[in-house]
Amino acid sequence: MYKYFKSLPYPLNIKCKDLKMAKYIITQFGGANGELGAALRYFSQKFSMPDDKGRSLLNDIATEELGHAEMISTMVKMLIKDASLDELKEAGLDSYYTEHGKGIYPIDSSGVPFTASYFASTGDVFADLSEDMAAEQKARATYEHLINLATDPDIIAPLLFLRQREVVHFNRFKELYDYYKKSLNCSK
Amino acid sequence: MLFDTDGFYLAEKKYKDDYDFKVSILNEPCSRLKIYDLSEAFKKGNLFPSLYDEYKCYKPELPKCRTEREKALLELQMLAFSIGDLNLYLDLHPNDAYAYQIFKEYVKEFKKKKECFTKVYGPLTLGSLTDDYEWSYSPWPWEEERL
Repeated sequence: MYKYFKSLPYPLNIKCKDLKMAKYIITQFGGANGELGAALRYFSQKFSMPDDKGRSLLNDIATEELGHAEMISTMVKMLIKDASLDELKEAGLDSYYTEHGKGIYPIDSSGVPFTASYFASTGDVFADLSEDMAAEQKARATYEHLINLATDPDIIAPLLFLRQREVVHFNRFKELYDYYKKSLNCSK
Repeated sequence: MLFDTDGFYLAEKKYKDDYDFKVSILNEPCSRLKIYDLSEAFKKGNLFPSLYDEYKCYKPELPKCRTEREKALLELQMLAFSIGDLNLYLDLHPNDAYAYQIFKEYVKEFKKKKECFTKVYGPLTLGSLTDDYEWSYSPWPWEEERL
């Protein structure tokens, strides 16, 4: 069961619209390495974790990622809020506008809509945790690319925060992976 | 034992002892656990100095608050952050009494601050009761103009 907490994990205070950045940042909502995919990946995989450590870690990281998906969506909303049609066209968001107006829809930075094939759930703890480690590294790399593209400190600060979360999650997944590997070797 | 001889893990635990591995990496007590304080952890996005990974030369700062509400909410966000990062750590180190002690202190502090916040600004969770039903019309996180 989920309960909603009516706050973002990290405050957003984006004063200037930036349609190009909106177009890039939305990839962390609906892209292959985005927060929505991360939340669904760990949510789906938690059912095949073999012990309490795995069950709790995947459950709790999935929950955190869903909060990040809301944070990214809020950033996009703030970045496009006051945009005119001409500005949308200029930023290459006219085709987005056609389907979604100024609504939020999970796509990547090239406009490809979200798909469940961005993640796997194999029922194999080592395959799943290896994917999770790679997913966190890819999300970290994507955040770094976004930070490199950004100039507004109000955009960079939340991106740095979210990037750092990928670093922590990677380490926790690795810790769990190593733990299972060791216990597998001990049982041989 | 978590895994059978073919390497398939056993989904159901059969004995209490199943979880007592002769593996020390997660079960050893971490009394020397080093953590950042609330605001340092929050601005870094990481509670643990041993895991902190700086990007380029960026030195993150604490977000600036525009209103009293934002200030009060930031204190809750900082507590929630450290509680969450301790939560992930404790998932893998449930026997670390020192970490759990800090976790409990933060949770108590969070509950207290959340109650004060609710009295002034309305509920953050559906279960926080106020005189009127304020849940739907107190600001939603994506309504930046009302925060």
